[in-house]
Amino acid sequence: MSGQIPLIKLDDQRWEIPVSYKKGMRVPGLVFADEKSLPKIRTDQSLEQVANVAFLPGIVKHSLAMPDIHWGYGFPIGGVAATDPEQGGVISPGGVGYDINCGVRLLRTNLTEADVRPRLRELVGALFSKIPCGVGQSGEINLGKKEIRQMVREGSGWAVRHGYGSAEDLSCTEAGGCLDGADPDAVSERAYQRGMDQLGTLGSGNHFLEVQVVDQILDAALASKFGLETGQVTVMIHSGSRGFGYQICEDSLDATRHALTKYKITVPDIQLACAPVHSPEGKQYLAAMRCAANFAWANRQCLMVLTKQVFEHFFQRSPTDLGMDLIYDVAHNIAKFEQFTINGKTKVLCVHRKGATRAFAPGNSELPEQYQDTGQPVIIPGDMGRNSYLLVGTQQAMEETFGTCCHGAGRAMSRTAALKAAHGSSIRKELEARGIIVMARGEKGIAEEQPAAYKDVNQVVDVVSRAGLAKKVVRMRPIGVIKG
Amino acid sequence: MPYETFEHTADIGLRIRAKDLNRLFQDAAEGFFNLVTDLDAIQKSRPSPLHEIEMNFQEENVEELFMRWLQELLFVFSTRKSVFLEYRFISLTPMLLKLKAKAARFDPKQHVSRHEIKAVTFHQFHVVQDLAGWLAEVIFDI
Repeated sequence: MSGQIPLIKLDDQRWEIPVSYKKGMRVPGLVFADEKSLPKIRTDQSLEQVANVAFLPGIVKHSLAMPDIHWGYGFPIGGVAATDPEQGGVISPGGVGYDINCGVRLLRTNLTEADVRPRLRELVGALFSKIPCGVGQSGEINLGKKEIRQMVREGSGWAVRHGYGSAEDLSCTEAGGCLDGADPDAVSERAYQRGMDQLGTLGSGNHFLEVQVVDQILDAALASKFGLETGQVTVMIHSGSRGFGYQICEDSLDATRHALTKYKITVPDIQLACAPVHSPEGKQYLAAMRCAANFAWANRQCLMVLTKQVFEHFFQRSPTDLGMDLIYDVAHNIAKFEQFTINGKTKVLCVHRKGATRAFAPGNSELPEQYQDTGQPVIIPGDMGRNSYLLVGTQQAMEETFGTCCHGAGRAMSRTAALKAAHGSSIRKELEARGIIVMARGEKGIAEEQPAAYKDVNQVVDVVSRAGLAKKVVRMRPIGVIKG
Repeated sequence: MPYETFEHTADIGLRIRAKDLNRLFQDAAEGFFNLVTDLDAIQKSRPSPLHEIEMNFQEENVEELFMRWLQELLFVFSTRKSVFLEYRFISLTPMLLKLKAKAARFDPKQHVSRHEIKAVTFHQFHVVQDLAGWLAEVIFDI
């Protein structure tokens, strides 16, 4: 429980955990939340984890927490920390998480709800049978050893080169769908074995594919630039680097655990194991982590193409006619080197985003030409019964949170509590009564992922918006969901 | 129940109490496979043929050994879709495990899917021995 942790109110959206709270904290914690959500946040250990992250050598300004914060491993989910490699800054696998480059992509379509609604159940059924999802499901893309090594070096570019999508998709993907410096030799044989049959698979747990409808335009000018209007159908895909990334995290935690003594680093939680960015252990993790990030981008690229194929076949319409274009793809579990101005000096920092989304402001050189004026599209999924959002990044985020905002609703209820609260079949029926068709491999999965298990994404996004970390563009609601 | 699940906001914990190390390791494995699928149903269906899996590893202490055990179970399930049905510990000490297991192949089309376990975490992980025997707690990332 985080009940006793002192929180100093800075304003209605900002709370500080003072550096004096715990001996060893190098910077204060800064938590973005409103008064209403604090009692819930205090029920788990996430605020303690914000304080623990402040122990990391080389951490800059604050250990940050977004309003969807909840209890994670080492880092809280919703945690952000930037370290300065030139000041002994570290890289921590726990600051990225097991599902390296778990992320979301959003596609627009030319379809309206009226086009989809009469045959919605068949459409969701077609997606469910085509998109591999759930425990132990293999994908249809078979990779040899040489191919998987090439794929993790190139990311989405590999997928495009092999007929999965087009070059335009790459400019609409964070980092172009590929992190430089990925070294296939830094990856263990076990990781290759776990990832070998998983390209083009959705996974399980909170991963999903949703057919959605734009239900509110929140900034008409920006929505128009993204080609979105009320009633329009969108598709959202949430997945990551699958077993490949999980294994890399496991391997790296083992290596960095042993590096703590070597580099005389003290952290209050072994899941915060880390190594200096410039150390051999740090470099090894970064080289492997980038391979996993690239796997995840290639995975979401392939999932998107499988989705488009289902739509084309189902509606018997051409790709151009359907207008299924990628709006953007964002990572929400990643560490990257990015440039920021700190106390008037330009620095390249190692930014860990663990359950947090990059939200770069208009004009940033990392954004493609079409988003230079709008700012980076930020995709925030909610739960399967409420809403999801498209936002854009702001200058405020650049100055305060290393260009970062929240990543989703955040869990409010444990899986066991969610199971006790409802059976999968009744949740499925309730959602159907509200016009949402859900298909999943296991009924328990539906109960565990029920809307009541999550915080209300609308409140989370309101905090982010009021704090100025991102600007709302449109709100979507789900009408069809497939889950593992 | 030789094991029980406990709550973590996004994931699931497993608590195992056992009178000796063999039971601790086997119960943990059964708990693990029951999180992934319906192990009892697979056992009752008496699938054949079973395949044999051998494990042989050493670690510095019982916690490291137990962690390695769970990591190996996750690995064989992820890569070979193996679900253990019979266990024969040839040697099991706090630092050494030698095992021959008989395993069935998990078939997602035929068997119940519960959770895809991403990883075995170190978060609040511990294995302790007291007068009653052994107690282990571990949280799995789902």
